[in-house]
Amino acid sequence: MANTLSPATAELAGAAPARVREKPGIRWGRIAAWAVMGLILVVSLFPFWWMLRTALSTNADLVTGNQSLLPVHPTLLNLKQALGLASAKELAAAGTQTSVDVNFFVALRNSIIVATLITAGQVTFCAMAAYAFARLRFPGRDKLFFLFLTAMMIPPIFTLIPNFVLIKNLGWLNSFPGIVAPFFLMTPFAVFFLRQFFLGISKEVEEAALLDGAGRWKIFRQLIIPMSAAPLVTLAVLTYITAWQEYMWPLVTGDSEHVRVLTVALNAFKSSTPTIAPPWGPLMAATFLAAVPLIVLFLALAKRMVDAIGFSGIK
Amino acid sequence: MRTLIALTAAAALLAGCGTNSSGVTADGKVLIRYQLWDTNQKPVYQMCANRFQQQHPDIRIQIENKNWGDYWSGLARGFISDTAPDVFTDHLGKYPQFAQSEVIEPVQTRGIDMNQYLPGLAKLWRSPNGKQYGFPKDWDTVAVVVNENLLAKAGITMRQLDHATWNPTNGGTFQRIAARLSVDTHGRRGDQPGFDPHNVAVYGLGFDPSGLTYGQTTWAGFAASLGFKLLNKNPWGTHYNYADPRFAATMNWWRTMIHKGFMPSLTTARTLGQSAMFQAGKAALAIDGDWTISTYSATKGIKVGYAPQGSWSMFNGLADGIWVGTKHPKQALQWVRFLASPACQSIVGTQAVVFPAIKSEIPKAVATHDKQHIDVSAFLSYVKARHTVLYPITEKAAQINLIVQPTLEEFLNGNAPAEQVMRNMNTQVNNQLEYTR
Repeated sequence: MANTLSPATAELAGAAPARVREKPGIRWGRIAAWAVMGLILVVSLFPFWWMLRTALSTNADLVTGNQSLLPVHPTLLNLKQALGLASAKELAAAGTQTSVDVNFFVALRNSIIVATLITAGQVTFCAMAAYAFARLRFPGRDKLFFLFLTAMMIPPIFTLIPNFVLIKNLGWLNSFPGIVAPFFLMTPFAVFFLRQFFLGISKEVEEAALLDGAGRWKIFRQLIIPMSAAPLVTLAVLTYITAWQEYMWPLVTGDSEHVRVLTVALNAFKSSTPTIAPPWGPLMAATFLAAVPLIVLFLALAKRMVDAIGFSGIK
Repeated sequence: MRTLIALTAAAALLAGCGTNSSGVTADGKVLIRYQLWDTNQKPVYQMCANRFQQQHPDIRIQIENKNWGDYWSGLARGFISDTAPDVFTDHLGKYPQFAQSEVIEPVQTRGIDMNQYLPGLAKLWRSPNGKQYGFPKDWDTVAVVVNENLLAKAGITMRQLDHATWNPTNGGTFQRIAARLSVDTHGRRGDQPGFDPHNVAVYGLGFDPSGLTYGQTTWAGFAASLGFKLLNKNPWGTHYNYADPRFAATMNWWRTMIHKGFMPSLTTARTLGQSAMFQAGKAALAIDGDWTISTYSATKGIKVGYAPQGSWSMFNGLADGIWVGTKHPKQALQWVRFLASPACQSIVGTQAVVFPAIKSEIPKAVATHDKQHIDVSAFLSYVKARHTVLYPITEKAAQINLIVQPTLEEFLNGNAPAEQVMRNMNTQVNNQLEYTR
C-alpha cells in the first residue's frame, strides 16, 4: 500500500533524516512503509512456513530442539500419512501411529459440502435481508436493524447449547442439515456488511427502473445483485473461510465419519494413548493440506475482493 | 453457480445416507458397537470379537477406535446425542462419574468367578451401594524405561538400576544414576562439576506431566514407598491426604530434579512428550506404564530395557462399560462378560499388548515378551511383592483434578514451599468432597 501514502505522510515519516542530510533522492517514507509491510508479511507468513517445516520433518527430529529453518531430514511420510497412503509398518517405525484414520478425502468432501451450502444460503438470504433494511420502508425497520446488530455481540458459545437441543429434537444430529442449519439463513455481520453497500447505490437508478415498471423483486435481482457483484463475492469468500474453519459446532453435532468435516477430522492426530505425545508431524501435514483449498480460493478471488474494497457505488 | 450448488446439495443428500443408528446390520444381526482408544489393542480385541461371533452368530461386533485425546469428550457428546457406542473401554478415573450420572449400566456378576482376577482389581469397579460397573480385563503397573545404549555409555549396569534405592532427601542411588545419565550441551555429565542445568542435551529422566493428580507415571510409586496413602480408604475414600509431609517431600524431590537439570521442565516435557523425547535419545530414562511397551520397544537403534521404579507402583486396570442407551442391553452384557472371560483373556495374554486380568493367563503374556527378548519382569515385580497402590477412587474426581493438576504444575514451575502449597490444596480438595455430601 506504499503508493497510497500521501506525499505529506511520506515526508512526515522521513522528515528528520531528510532535513539533516538534504538528500531528496532517497524517499525514506517509502522505505519505511516497505519495511513495515515486509515485517507484517514475515510475521503472518512465518507460522505458515513453520507448519510446513514441521510437516516435512520426521517426528523424531522435532524433539531434538533443532531450530533450523529447513527440515533436518526432509520426508514426505507425514503428507502420505495425512492422505492415508502410508503403511502401518512405516508409521510404527516413525512412531506416528494414530487410533483413528483421518480419512482425508471424505473429510475434504464434507468440508466442501458444508462450506458451499453455508455460503450459498448465507449470501442469498443476507442479501435479501440487507436490501430490505436498506431500501424497503416498514414500521420499526431501524429498531429491528438495531436489534439485529445487537445480536453480533452475543458470543456464539452462548447459543451452542440451545442450538444443540433444537437440532437434536429435530433429529438432525450427524447430518449435513444439522451442521449447516445455524449458519444457513443469516449472520448479523453479513446483513450489516451488505446493507452498507446497498445504501451506497444511488436511488436514482432504482427510481428509473421503477418508472420503467420493474417491481422490487425485479430491481433486486436484475439491478442490485449485478451492481453488487464485487461485495457479494467478498462476502462469499469471507463466509466460505469462516465456514471452513468452524470447529466447535461441527464437532458437537457432526462427529460421525460420513459428515465429519476437516477441522474435526484433524482430531485423528491427538495423542492416541495416555502418556504418548501427539504426532505433530502428520498433524501439521494434514493441517497444511486442509488449508490448501482456502489458499487456492483466496488467490483466485483476491483481485475481486480488492475491487470490492474500492467499490464506490456506481461504476 | 446454480449447478454447483445443486450438485453440492445432491452430494450432501447422498452422503447423508448410510448412518446406522438402528443397531441392526443389513443382514438382520444385532450390531454392538465397541469403542476403545488404544490402537495397539484393536487387533487383539478383533480376535476376541471373531471368536465371540462364532459362538453368537446372531451378533456382530463393530470395533471403533478413538484417540485418548478425544475419547472422553467424544463419549460425553455421544451420551448426550444418543450416538454413544453400546460398549466402551472404561477407566477407573472416569466411571464413578458415569455411574453417578447413570449413563452406564451395572453388570450382573452372577455366574462369573470373581476370584479368577488378580486380587483387588474387581472391587475397584464396585460402587458404594454394591453395584458392579465392569469386570477387570487387564491391569497395568509402571516401570522405568531404559535406553540401554546411554546407560552403557555412562558406565552403569542394568543391575545397578534394578537395585537402585530412593529417598526424598537426596534421591538415593536412583538420583545419582539420573545425574550420571544427564549430559549438558558441552558434554559434561550431571555428576561432574560445571554441569549446566539450563542447557541440557540429554535428560537423565523423562517426565510425563499429564496426570499429576494421581501421579500414576510420576509420584505415585515413589510416595507409596514411603508409606504414603492418598485416601483414608480406597475405593470410595472420603478424605484426601495431600497434606501428608511424605507427599510434600516427594514433590519437592521431583522439583529438585527439574532444577538440577536431570529432568525436563514442565513446559519442555509437555510440548515434546516423554515417549518422543525418549525415542529421540533426549531422555535416557522414562517412567511409563506397561501399555507403552510396544511403543518404546519399537524405537529404532536403541536397546530398550525395563527396570522397577523404586519398589512400588500404582496398580490400575481397565474394564468395559455398557451405555444405558444401548438398544441391545442383553447382547452388550454378553459381549462384556466374554471380554472378561478366560476365552478372550487368553488371547489378550498371548498377544501381550497389555497384561490380562485373569491370573492364570498372565504367564502367556510373559512368554510372548520373552520370545521378543523383552524382559517385563519389572512390571510384574510389584504384584509379586504386593508393593502396589490401587488407583484412587472417589467422587468428584473431575473437579478434584481441576484443583490438583494446576496447583502441582504451578508448584513445579515455581519456588513456593511444598508443605504450605500441599496443605492449602488438600483443604480445597476435601472441601470439594465435603460439598457433595
